[in-house]
Amino acid sequence: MSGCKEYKSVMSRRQFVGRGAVATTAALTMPAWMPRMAFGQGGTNRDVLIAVFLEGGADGLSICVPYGDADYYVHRNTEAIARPDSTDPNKAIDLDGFFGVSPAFQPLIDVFNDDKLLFVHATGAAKNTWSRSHFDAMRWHELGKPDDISLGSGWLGRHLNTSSPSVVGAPLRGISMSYGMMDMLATAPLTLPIPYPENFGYEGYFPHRAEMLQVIKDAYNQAGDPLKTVAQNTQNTVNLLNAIDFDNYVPAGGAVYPENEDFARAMRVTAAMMRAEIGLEVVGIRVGGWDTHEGQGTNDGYLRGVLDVVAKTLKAFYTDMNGANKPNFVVAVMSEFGRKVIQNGSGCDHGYGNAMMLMGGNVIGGRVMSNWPGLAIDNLFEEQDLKVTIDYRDILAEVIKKRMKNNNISQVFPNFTPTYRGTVAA
Amino acid sequence: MSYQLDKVQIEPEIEETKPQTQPIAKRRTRRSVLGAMTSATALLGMVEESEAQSTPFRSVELKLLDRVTYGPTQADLTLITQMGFGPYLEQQLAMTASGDSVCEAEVKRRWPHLTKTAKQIYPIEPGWEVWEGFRDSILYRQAFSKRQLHEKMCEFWRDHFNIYGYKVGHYLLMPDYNNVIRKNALGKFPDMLWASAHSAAMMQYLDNASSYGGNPNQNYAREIMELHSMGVDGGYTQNDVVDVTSCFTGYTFEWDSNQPKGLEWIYSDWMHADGVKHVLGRTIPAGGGIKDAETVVRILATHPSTARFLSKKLIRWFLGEGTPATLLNKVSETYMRTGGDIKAMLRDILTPANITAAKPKLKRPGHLFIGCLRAMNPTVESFSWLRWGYMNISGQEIFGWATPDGMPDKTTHWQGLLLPKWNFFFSGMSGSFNSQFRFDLKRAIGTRASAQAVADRIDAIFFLSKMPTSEKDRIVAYLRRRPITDDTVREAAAIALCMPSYQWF
Repeated sequence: MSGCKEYKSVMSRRQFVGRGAVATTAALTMPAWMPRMAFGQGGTNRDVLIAVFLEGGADGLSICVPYGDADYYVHRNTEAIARPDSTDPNKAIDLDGFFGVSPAFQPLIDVFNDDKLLFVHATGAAKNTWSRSHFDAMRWHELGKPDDISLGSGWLGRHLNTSSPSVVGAPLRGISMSYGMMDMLATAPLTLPIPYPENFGYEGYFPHRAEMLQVIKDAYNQAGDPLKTVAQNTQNTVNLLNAIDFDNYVPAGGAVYPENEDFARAMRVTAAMMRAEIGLEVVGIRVGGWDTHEGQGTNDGYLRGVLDVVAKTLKAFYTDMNGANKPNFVVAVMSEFGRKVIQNGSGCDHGYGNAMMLMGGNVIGGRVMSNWPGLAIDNLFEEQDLKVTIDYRDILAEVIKKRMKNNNISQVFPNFTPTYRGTVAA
Repeated sequence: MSYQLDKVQIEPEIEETKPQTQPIAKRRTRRSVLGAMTSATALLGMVEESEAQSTPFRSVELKLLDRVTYGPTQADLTLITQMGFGPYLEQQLAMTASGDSVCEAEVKRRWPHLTKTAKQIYPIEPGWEVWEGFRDSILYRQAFSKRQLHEKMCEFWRDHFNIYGYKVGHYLLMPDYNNVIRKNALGKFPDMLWASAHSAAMMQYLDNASSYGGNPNQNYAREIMELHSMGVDGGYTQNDVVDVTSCFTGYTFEWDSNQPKGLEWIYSDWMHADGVKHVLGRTIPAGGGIKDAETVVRILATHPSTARFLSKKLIRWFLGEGTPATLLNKVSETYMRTGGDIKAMLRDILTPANITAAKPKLKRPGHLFIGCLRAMNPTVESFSWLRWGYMNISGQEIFGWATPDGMPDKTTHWQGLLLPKWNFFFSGMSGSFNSQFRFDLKRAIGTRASAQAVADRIDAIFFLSKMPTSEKDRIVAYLRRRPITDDTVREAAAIALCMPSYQWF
């Protein structure tokens, strides 16, 4: 990657300030939290992609509820969301006469009705990649190519590698908001694992800090990759993120992010970075807590709690972006696999097919996209799991091609020919 | 840019059961060119533009210390120079706690609850203090134990049999760490697998504690095969998972701390699914009860896939990514021949030839921090600053890895985390080392006659006088920019520790 000319012309702090000065007129009207050196989006008209990975195997049958399939209630005697026409106070909210959503998703019904929220059901990894192991399933899901033990790059990493930066000179194209790089972003250029972008800075006190950093940078430049690139990115990114006043960020449109929830924090920080126009293209976010072998529950169980946070956070983010007149984003919410159709005692073991969500200004939503395979025992995969009838790469490839404007789909998803299903506007 | 697949891939494992593909052959060619470079920074076949740095000669003995310690000290180097490579390694393999009495006495003095049973630990208040102390004791031993290889193996096994502390509670976790990990770290693997299958903490962590005939939970059954023994490609099927689950039903622990066996592993007969089972081609007849899972553990512990999976992980732990097929075969055969003798496997891996051939490996954050600590040899007041400020921020919180795969032993996972490593040194050299670790840089440097003399002292303290010349030249040049003061000395030390060569071992 160090051989790529584009990545050598990373802007210095001084260049940032210079740019900021050019944009003085705009700066005067900017909110106080915004850095004084916004890049502008350069007219590429690409979306920013926020890939949210629900780690542990989220139960899609409790998220997008197939209440019209009577077998759902046969297999799930306690772990099912009640029909919309039932008297249960925590019944599903109807979407299309067959599917409903968990009542936790009430905040997102407006977005669904705006046609900006799409559910895809009975999706997942193609059969030869299927695994009931979290780690295999996650790895292959995130790498985007099954059964390749030598592949070390993720699908988003390959996307960034096969597309030019949407803003030339932007020091940070991607963030993996995690401790350590998420597999989906592995090998991505100008991308760092930053669990807390709002706290990304240098510690300690030195009279000649800038000189020290220059000596360190020179040494890494000489030493070469992989750390040369990391060192450059780290220093440039500290300068960039320190210019954003995250503490005083004011969400637009009256959006309210849930307090004290890590996913909400991550999305709020993402919104601030997007509105600061720093040239960020992709963000990876992990949300844990979905491995509900036990105590899954429908209303007061564990799952309801995590779903509440996801729904309220996505609503806040949507409101924020809408209020700021920034519709060019796609939030893709996915998980490594669904959970078994047939429950165990108070939860569900690892399954297969699952639901997935897309939200964004250019998403063709307001519907549930599905080739529903049915939940009768004979229709289940290995007589226990929801079948996969739409490969998740169909959905992601369409986003990459149409919204991220990258035509190199065969490199983003090697050995796979996607079917475009009209999930996003061209 | 032109996108070339072989440039963005990380180095693959060389798995001789798979045909070598063209891109792998290409990468090997490039690496063999780079193999001529002796620099600690010519790494992983990803180097495109680096220049070779001249590095003071590192003897094979010192290279062994790099691999089997958390950072060699002058005392280590003196010892191995006296003893020689082979005897030193044998001493590391043989040394017991009684041979490490100074460290063990201090551990016992500081953390008196470590070896207690779950039932004894459970009521101790405040529990968080016990939990924090437990994790501090692990760092203390990494820094100060003479049994460095043993401590490195404890870390390896902690990842292998990973348990998320917040799910099980410290009172279950502490006995697991003693009875599964520490007790068997250099013993026989089948004993360790057996101990883990009889650990209350593991039963709770992977949900086996609540798995019973009418309501089986596959979590532990899957992971004991996928992660603990055979590996995901080891050759088991979903049917095996189902039947191993049945075999393990009833392996639980006594939830009620007031019972005689409170918080201990127990077998609960009523929870057991008592039908016939088929596991990896073997029939386990009905009515076996507790013996069903014992049979499974024996099958797994003696399976060739287990031998290969463990061998590969161990080779990677000590020698880095890119396992040579011949070595993998050799270590696997040793496992099968010796009944999983970990020491015998390590003797195969830690040879002068293998140590010499091994490419530099990226230090995980904790390794880097502890290595610096060993160089300073301070009186540690507390580890809280190190753990909360740096280990946790680097994603290396002890017992904080939620998923049972354990922390990755993979360069690409850790390489992006330069900032927390730099910050450890920035903060440390701004006073935190002195306040928490009682390490006084000023005193350690001593008189500062010249830039060269100060750089020599920094090199001696932190690098055993083996700092790469090009990096040391930068330190000297930096110190020559202005009159030497306390500030410029600590700045120079911080720069030295942030240098690229210090990231690798």
